[in-house]
Amino acid sequence: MKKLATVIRVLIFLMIGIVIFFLLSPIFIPKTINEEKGFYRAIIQGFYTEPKNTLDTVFIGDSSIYKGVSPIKIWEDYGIACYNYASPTQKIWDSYYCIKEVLEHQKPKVIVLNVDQAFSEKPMSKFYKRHLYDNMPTTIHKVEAIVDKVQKNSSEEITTLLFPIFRFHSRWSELEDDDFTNAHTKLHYPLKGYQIVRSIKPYKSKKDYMIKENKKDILGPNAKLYLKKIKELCDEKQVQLLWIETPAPKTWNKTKHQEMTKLAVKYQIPFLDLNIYLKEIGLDWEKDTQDEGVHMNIYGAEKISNFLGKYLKENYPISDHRGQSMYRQWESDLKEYQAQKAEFIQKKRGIINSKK
Amino acid sequence: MEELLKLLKKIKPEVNFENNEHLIDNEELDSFDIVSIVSAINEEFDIEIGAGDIVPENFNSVEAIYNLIQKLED
Amino acid sequence: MSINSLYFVAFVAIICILYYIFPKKAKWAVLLIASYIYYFLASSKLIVFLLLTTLSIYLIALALGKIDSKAKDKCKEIEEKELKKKIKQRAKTKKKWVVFLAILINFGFLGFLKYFNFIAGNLNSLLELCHFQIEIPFQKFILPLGISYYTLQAVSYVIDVYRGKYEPDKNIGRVALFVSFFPQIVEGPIGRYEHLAHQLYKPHEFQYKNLKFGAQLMLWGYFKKMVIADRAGLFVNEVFGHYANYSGITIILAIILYTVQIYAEFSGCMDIVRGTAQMMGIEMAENFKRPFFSTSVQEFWRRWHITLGAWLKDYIFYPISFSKFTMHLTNGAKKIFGNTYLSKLIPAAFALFFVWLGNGIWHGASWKYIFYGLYYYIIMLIGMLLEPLSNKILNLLKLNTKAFSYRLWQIFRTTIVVFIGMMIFRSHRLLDAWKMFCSIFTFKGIGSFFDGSLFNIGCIPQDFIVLIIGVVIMAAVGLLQEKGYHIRERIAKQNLLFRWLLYYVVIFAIIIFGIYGPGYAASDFIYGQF
Repeated sequence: MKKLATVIRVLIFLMIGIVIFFLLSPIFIPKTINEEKGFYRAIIQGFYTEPKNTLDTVFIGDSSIYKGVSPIKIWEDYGIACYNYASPTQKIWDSYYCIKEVLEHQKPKVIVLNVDQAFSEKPMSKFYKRHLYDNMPTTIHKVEAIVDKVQKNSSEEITTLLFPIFRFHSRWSELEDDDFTNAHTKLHYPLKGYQIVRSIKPYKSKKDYMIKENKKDILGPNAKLYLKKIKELCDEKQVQLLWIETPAPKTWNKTKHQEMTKLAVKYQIPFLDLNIYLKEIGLDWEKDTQDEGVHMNIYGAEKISNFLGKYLKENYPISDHRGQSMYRQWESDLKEYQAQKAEFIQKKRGIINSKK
Repeated sequence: MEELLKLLKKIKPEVNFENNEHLIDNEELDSFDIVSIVSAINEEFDIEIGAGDIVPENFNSVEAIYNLIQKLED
Repeated sequence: MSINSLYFVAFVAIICILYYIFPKKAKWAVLLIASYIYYFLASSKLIVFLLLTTLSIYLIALALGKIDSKAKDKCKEIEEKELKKKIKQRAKTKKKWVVFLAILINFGFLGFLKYFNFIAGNLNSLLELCHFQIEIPFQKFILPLGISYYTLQAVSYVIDVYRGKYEPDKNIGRVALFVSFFPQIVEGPIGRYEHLAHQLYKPHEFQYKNLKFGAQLMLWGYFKKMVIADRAGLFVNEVFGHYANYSGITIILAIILYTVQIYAEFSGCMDIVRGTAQMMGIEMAENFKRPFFSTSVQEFWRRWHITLGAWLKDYIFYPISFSKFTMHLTNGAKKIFGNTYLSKLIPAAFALFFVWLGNGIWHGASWKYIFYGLYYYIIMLIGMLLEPLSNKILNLLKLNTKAFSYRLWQIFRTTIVVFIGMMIFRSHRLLDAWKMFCSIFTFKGIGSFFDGSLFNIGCIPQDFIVLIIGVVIMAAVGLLQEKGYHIRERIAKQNLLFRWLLYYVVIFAIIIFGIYGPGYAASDFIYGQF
């Protein structure tokens, strides 16, 4: 009897300790959200402030998504509620775990997956891993993602990714108010996972990149495996899956297009390669790209968003939520977006072709 | 025994040897004292206390030292 | 698996659970297997040396026992006293050779692996001096983990058997466990067979108090090591690494902080080791007894690294003191100086020389360590030489040597000597130590104390705040223990709320304020590159 009491006491002690541990840990994760150091935290955390089961579509992918698709523009034009759950240099297996995480909170009609990240078999660098997983709440999906062998995490990296306090504890001397206020409450992100990109650097080449071939651009075994897993996951959850590829003359080509088309046919997944609809989108390489054709800027993103919104409206049973009481927040988010855009366009004048 | 006590007092007059059972444990004798005591005893009693005999138990009290001498005289 | 890693904590937790789950007869085997796994993970194939040491002392101890019992048997049959003596004498000689073999083998490994390059280097300079065109090539040896510690333990066992202190152990498992027990193997304490071996072998029933006190001791050790020692190290490493850039007050602070560092680190590690053992009901020897309350250098070394001092005393000081040569020396001194203080001093000084030489060499293969040992030797010798004189002066001045203020002065004096010793110990080479020592007296850099730049060397001012708090806690704990308080017993008497609060504060202080993990300025490093 006394032994049992001892055991229970030790267990209670440990449990309280673990609770304190998880309360303290988020305080030490860096909170910086700004133009220079990235909006990565805002993008991921903002997702969790969206009311449960209110999103129609979630976009998954890397910077092509959070710089190339503006959900609030889609809302403005079509009343469709979308969000970008995206992180820099994300790989296809990360996308898989992100979708798992997303489906835990939302029941979207469509998951839209950007596919270029499937053409890499290397895991993210540890810095980018931090940018995704530090900002994700600790769930079973996050744990799975971190311990997955494909990530090639060392045991130390696994420990610090699971328990960020072991990585960031020495920030104790530089903690600010943000670190405490933003530790356990997630901040709403009116731009819905979109990052306004201000600069313009034209893509000059007149050659058609969609006739370019590169034999090296084939899908590796891990990519195939996780593309399959994503399909199975969406089937199981009864969510439509749509593959897209945002316009990217610097990285995309004919081989990649064919490779993905083959697989799309095999899995019967619709594949919307925006690179072959440039005219319909009305993309202007002089003005619409941030960095010579790698990423979109706001002009490009708005055009793409309009095109995607139209596609979604025409192909999926999604109703227009504008004016619905559940979506009142979206109206003020739209105003915020427009305000930021206006501020930006004012600032922008005369600095076309600025560096970076 | 008397002889031993006299000898000890000669070497270390400031220590109270009678009824003291913690000469080593209380650090009243240090290793230098032990060396002088052992050398003196070896000479006086014509025995050979070796390095192996030097453990606190053998030097904590006059009785203990006396017992050690007895043992070695056999 | 370093002692301040999560893996070590996890390892200890698992071994602890297994230890209590396994039946009584197998408990010691759990410890032995755990120790060998631990050793193998750290040193892989170098475990051969550990095995050879274990095997050699086991067999040689048995051989010593056999020689003894054979001689005894023979003596029983024989009546003649002279012959008996002869047999005994012969057995003794034989034993001497056998024990010599054991010492040779074990110190041979240690000497060869640890001191080869040192000796080769010195020989090379000597050869060069004599214009020989030969050079002994340096070897890259990796030292087996803890060889300096376990060798001393192993040798003490054989010598004790030789001296007849106890019977040789027939159980090789017990001997192996005594030599390899995993918490102690890295940094000691250097255990003695009669104290430790049976404790390790004996099954210990689960006792909540052992678990609790052991865990508390470990926690305290981690606090000292990770929060205090490693933080002090930030400043110390910078200053000692680039001592030429610093002088005066900075050097003084670095020396003081290094002393803090090495004490917190070494005694902290000992607490972790002893705490680990205590969790399984095993009590290990104390290695530190609040050395900074010492009033003399002799006392300091009785309270600092106690088990090493005890080893040197038992296996170097006494044997040399009672050797025939020293006896002759004593008699010779008496003839010249009569029965004076000086004639007593000479044999002691002779034996002590080897103790301090041994102490120095044991710490490492370099002249600086030898000098470090001899530094203390000289200080002690001077103290002993001047003792009659200083006693006279004290009497003349009618100073109250029992007064607190006098004691404080003695402690201060001892601490200064220790500081200088630590400076030698930490510096890269002997010459560096000397240069550092000289630069203290330039009194430069006092301004850096006032404008705060002093506290930005290798760390940040906030680190100094943590450091000061840590040192104050450590000093307070020391003071209470010095007054005879049993801190853990005291804590046990407090209310649950207070106790748990205390534990959590310490645990999270270690997690947050501990120095560990990649890069110190974490956020600069990780987000700086965007």
